[in-house]
Amino acid sequence: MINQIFAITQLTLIKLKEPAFMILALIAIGMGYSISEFEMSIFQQDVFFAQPFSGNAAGAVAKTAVLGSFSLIAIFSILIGIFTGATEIPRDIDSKMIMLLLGGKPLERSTYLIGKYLGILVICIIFFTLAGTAVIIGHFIKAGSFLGIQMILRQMMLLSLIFPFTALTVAFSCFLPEFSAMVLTVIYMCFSFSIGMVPILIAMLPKSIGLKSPLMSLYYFFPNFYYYFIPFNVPGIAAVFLLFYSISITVIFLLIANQKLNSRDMI
Amino acid sequence: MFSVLKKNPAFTAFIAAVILYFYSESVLRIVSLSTMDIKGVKIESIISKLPINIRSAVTKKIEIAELKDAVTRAKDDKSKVLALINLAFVLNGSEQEKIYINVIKDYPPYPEAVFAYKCFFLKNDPRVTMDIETYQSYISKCPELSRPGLWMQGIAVMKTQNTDPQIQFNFLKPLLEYEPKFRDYEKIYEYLIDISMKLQDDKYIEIASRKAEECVDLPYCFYEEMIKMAKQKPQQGKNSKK
Repeated sequence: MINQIFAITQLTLIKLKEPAFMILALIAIGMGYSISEFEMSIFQQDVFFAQPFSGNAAGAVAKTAVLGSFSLIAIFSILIGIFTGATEIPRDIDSKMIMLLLGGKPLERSTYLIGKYLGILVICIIFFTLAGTAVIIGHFIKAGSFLGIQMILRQMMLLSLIFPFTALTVAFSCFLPEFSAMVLTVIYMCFSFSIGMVPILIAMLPKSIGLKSPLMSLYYFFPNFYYYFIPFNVPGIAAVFLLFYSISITVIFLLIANQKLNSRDMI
Repeated sequence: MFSVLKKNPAFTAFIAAVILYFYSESVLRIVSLSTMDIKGVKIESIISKLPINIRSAVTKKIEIAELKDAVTRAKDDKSKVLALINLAFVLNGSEQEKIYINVIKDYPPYPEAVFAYKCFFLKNDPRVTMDIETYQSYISKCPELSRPGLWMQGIAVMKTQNTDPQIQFNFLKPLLEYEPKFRDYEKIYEYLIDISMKLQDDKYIEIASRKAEECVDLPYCFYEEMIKMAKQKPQQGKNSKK
């Protein structure tokens, strides 16, 4: 089964040989280098990044923050995941390629799904890694010093953001045509970005407010984008639970996608 | 139950993932809230990040909850009445009336409660009797400085209700025997002249005109209030230094 998954992944990764992806890789490197000194200047205008998470509380152990450059790279990686992920499965269905794969070979639909998911994930990780390496090298060239190991590890934790969002895109693409899946994923992502404010809002709300339960019920339907940007040290309890959080969301979305794909008529 | 889980691994995985999701989310929530300085964040900036369709509902709920908290925090009757009136402003009809009735029945007559008295003034509401005599008695119990404003509020209600001139005259009649202390009464006496003219009562026109002229040389309530506050401030400063 693992061999079959990797075969599907390799099939997805064929795209990497296309000139468009070569250009994308060059863009990733160029972008990483040019934004290597980008700290948090954009996010400093944002209340969530600027005020709550900007500094460490007095007397507390110093925590490693996410750099602005890596935040941008993570967001771009997700966007690439959306554009690739939303198109892969619908195109295979439309072109009857899926019938060739599932009908011609003893391949389960869940195997196909995991293979496709891993393929899209690898594309995003390659983009993130290339741009991230360019940031580190760019920082060395411009500032004359390497980023610390702790700092690099914290930035690499942003990779865990790509896992659930790619799964989410794949899940939507199992339900909808490619363009609709793309649009809906972006809308859902924007909405989850907004709804991520709910825990802070609840902590700040007046005591006599009766909004907590309905807001939290709504909140649980969306992944909290902000958790990936809180300052923490790696390894640490926050890092471990962030991985658990990403894994759980990924599994939930892939299971939903699997359920839909299994019940879908491919003819 | 376990047999169901064994037979359906996807379902088992889903349940496990949901449990893990809730557990890890709660831990991350605690971590993120402990990382930030909540006191340094303005609630408006957080609300502006929420989706537009729920933003106004949340804002309204927060406003109401803050006003309710202010009622709970209020230490004396006067500040409680003020907090209740502020709360009533943001509520709809029936809830607003409930608060007003509570203010009229359960608290002493403060000028801040005028909106409650005004709401039921000359209305035949079985829950609260607020006729001319009751409203006049309310004004007489309030401090001198606030009284012109309270009379004006009563007149405003009568104007909007197109009350009969005779009833309006009966409402303002005690002012004909009153010795005005502030310039603010001038407008009220002028209105009383208009009403008396409508009723073609020359005697009262003359008295009201004389009273209106007397008011011209008197200070405005506003100035008196300012002087009072100016006197209070140095005293407060001395108390705080002590």
